[in-house]
Amino acid sequence: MNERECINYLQRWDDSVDEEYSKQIIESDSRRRFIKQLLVGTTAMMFADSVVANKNQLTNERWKILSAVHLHMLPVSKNEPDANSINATAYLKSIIEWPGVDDSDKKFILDGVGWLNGLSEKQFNKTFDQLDTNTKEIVLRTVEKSQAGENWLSLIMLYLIEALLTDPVYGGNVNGQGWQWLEHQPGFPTPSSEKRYFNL
Amino acid sequence: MSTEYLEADVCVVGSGAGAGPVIYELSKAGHKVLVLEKGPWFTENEFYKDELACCRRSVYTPDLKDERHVIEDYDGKSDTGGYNWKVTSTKESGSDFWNGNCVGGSSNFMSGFFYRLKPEDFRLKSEFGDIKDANVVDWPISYDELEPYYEKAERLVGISGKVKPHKYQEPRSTKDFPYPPTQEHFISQKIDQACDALNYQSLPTPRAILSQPAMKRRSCEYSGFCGSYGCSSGAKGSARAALINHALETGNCTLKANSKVFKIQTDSKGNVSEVHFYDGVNAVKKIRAKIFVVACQAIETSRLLLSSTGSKHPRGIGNNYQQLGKNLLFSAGGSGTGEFFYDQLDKKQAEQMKQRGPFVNRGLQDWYFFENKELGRVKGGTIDFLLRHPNAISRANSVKWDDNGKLLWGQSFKDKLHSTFTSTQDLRFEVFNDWLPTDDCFVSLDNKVKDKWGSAVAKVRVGYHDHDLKIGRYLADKAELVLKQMGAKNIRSSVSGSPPPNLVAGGCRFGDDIKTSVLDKTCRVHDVDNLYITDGSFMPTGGSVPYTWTIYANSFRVADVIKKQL
Repeated sequence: MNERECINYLQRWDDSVDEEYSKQIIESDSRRRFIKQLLVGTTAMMFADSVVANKNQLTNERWKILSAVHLHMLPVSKNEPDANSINATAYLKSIIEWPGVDDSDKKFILDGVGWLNGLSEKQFNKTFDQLDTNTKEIVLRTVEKSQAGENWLSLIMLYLIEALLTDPVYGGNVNGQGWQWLEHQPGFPTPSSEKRYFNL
Repeated sequence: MSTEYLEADVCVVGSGAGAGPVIYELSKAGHKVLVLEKGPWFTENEFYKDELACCRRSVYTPDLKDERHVIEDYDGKSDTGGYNWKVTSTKESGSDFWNGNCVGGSSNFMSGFFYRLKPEDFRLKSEFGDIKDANVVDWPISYDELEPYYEKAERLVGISGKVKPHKYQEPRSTKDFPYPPTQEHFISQKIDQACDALNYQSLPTPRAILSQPAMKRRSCEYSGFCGSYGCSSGAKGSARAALINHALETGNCTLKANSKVFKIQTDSKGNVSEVHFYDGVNAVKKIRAKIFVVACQAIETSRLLLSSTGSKHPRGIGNNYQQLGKNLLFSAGGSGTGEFFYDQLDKKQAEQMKQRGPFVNRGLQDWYFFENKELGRVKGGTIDFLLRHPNAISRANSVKWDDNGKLLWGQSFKDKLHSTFTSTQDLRFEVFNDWLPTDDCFVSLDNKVKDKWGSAVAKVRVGYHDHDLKIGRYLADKAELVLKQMGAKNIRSSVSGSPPPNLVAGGCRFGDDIKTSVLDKTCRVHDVDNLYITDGSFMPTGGSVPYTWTIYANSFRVADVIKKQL
């Protein structure tokens, strides 16, 4: 896949996302909104075509790939939590099933796995989870160049951060390891599983 | 189709700070009070220190999909000399204007720093004269008329503090607060030392938080998570914990949660005959009462009155002179921060600096009024100090962007995260000054956007007056000097005209003339015999402190008026 094809591919992802929704993701992140105001222009993708996106529908594959994304973003390092130790992928899976998170977010997250993996297969003939670390980085940074891709990565990170620092009752932050690592003193009382937000 | 009617002496719409005192006083006086609250009913047993529930999901506020506001913000000057307005719904922007829709309202989630207004705040026009393009007026009552009710709120809501005389100390009918100050953080004495050196007078901040058990409520337990969180000990003086719970004990008060009022029906004389609401399963119910009280927080109160048209009120109740929704107020000012690096402190001090739980409890009112060359003698405001909010997820989420707006991940993200969380304690300050009332800040109805029940949502124009920014900047510069004197690093502040949605008042200003105000001095709608507005809507000017204590006090005052009328 050459650069032009790559750009076209990502443009199709951009086109598949509702423009208002895309704006909403940016607006809802005040820090990012601030940076966006400072920057002059963003990567312009100007080569839209009409080919319908080929979405990856493999459900189990999807979670394997998400798990690989998570571990790339929060990798294993000595004496620090990583995506596996905090149960990041299982946490995201729960979030998708619970109420409270916008349905558009859920769909966007799941669809995005297909787009990411599609790019990985077209560029490197491998599913994303089979790539080595350097190649994963190349693919993710390529994805980041499109608005939809950047939004998707930003959302994935938001829920990864939730998994790191939420109350352990939600399944992430196992044994409070995210809190201990960052010397965060949680408040009290903390919720029991019957008092999680969607049970209130 | 049969309609179910409910009856009461008094029907109160809303259950927050503006409603609580009326509910409390009238129930205690033996009147049958029926309260309609749009949101659910949480108690201490449902409030946890859970960042997802508090701040990341719509638990205490409506889902913006179902109920939103439409905001009209500045979008440059127009060719005709006025301004252009950019119209965005809060669903699109994510900038939520709800503040706590549940029993007790947003008073459940305040951090409870409480100040009274000063006598001069009741007569700003007489004291300081007109300001061009601002609608400053004197209040129809004086500080002296409200003082007994400030005292009553102090006692019944439970305010902890210590009076320290200063040049702008307002008169008090009692010597000191009924409860001693809440526990204080190590950094508070550092603020005192810096202020002494600068010849500023640091003041202990009064808090609507019990420092000892009282009135069947527990003392503060100092978890360090206060603002934005519901209180699980009952120490925080929310309308629910401090007033409504006691009202319910009288047996005279009935509270209906999940009850959304959508219409106030008026009769041929223009008086209120019924209130119509959707119950928890969206069936329409109706209420008849002798007296009706509306306190839904400023924006929603104006919206409900605008929506409630009748033969005598064709433009909405209280709007025959087109004053309704006008002169909406927020709080002007801004905020700033300075960092204290643990590795620049000795070990003991670093540990003390990290302490979580006690309050900072320090403020400055040295410039509540001031005079300088550029501005002359003007109304200033209040500075309050506080530690950075302890929410971890929101803080970590802001770390994921680098300075060029690119996402960080991998080990570099982990390193930045760790250093951000473990290197510093951040002392913040907030500046409160008057949000001048202008023709560019008001509530109207949006004809296109509806809530989930099909009612037009509130459209809020949020223009500000440039004067507000000058005052805010003056105060922020003073506050920065305190941080500098303390040895803080990376000191910065911002003053803007962005409205803080949690500090809102006005829209139904009270006054003596029906042509320029919505309410009379008793907060009754001028041309309606039996409708009172008791939230912050009545305020013609805002003062330079959070509104809640004044809202409580005024609602106690109006309760005495209603008692006489019943």
